[in-house]
Amino acid sequence: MEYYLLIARSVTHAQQMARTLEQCGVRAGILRTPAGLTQSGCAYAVRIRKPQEERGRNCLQQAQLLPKSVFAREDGCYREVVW
Amino acid sequence: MIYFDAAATTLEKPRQVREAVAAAVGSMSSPGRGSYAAARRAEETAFLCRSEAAKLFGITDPARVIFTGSATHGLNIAIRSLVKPGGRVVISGLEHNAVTRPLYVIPGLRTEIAAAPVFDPDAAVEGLAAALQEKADAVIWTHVSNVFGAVQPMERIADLCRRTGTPLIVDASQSAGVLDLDVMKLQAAYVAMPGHKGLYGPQGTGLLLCGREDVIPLLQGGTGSASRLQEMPGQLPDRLEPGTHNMPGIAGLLAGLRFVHRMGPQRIRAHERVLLEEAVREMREIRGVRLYASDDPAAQTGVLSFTVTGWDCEELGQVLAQKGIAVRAGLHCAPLAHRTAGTLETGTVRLSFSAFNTREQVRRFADVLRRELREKVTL
Repeated sequence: MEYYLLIARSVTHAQQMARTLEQCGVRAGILRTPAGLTQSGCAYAVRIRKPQEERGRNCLQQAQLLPKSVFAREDGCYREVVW
Repeated sequence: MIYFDAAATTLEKPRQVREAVAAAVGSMSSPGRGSYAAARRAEETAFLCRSEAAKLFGITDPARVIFTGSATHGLNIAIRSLVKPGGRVVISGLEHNAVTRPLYVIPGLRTEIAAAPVFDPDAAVEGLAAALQEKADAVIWTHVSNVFGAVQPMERIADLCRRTGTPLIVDASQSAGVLDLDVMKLQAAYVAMPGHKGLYGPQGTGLLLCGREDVIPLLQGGTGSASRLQEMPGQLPDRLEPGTHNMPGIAGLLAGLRFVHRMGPQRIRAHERVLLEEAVREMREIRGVRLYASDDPAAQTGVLSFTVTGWDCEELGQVLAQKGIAVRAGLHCAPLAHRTAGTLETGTVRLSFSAFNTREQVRRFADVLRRELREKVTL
């Protein structure tokens, strides 16, 4: 399955992002960030489906809640993308 | 027991608070620590608690609502962040030891007390304006005196601070849950409050509301985030919340905040005001009683100090305790406020009400007081 992982600054930030996305009609789930994706270790992320990426970005931009970084999951691998 | 010590701790809590605390003990671990259900429940509860507090106190970003162990804890963080050795700070003449003791240990600090008569808001503003002729690191001002219930003109204080570019720290220990408090409107740097008084949460809880982010942690430790880094994370709330969270406390505080939100601070205050007026009416007629009360309903919350001629305040407090009435006597950890009022040598007896007290309790208290004073005179 292809999806985007929005890396949060804290678990509180992850919850803020997830709630805001849901309000914008973007399905969002909170999860622990895979260890290989964080240089500083231990973080939370919000997962959204690929077709909802643009709507999600606009939504978080408007709410000034942009993630720390964003990764696209494609073909079983993660690729960092710039928002 | 008649409990009139709500300014210290609201002992009578909403049923939902007790239930939330009990439920959290067995069902929540710590937020930010795992993917399993107990950690998720803790995360959800902590976030809801921050959001509820943000809504109640006019904060747009719940991440700026910090869990502390008490108002004292929050005040220590705020003071450490803004007040530097060799600096200058201005405080009101009604501050609690939670403010004056942390200041006392800062080397070379000049602390100026903008003292004013207890129930004189104009004099308080004038005193602060004079003190701010000289630059200060911060102004620290209690919203309501814990000894006298005197409401401070916080909007005018905040306005003076804004105009002089002085960061404001508000001690909302006695006002949170009773008076309207809008952090963004005040543009306060920090507002500290306990969870166990007017917010009806359990003891060991508190909130620090951050109007700014350049805050210096009091403690360092694990946050469940950025674990490879040895410095504390830069973002709030993690920067100020090392160690395992007090989840039973936070769950109880959430229930308390919801209770206050449902009731409305104005309604709670109106109820306490009725009790205060009843107490003043009853006690004014008792010979030897001196009341510290304002004639202006807007100037006092449900806190009333008094002394009785010929009685030591602690002895009177003890007699009342033996009769099943809980009051607080002495200096109330606020010797500065007593000095300002001229009661430093005697102390006072303090009655303080909550949403759970009744007029009937006030009348019963007054009857007991009358009887005790009569008996002492007879002896």
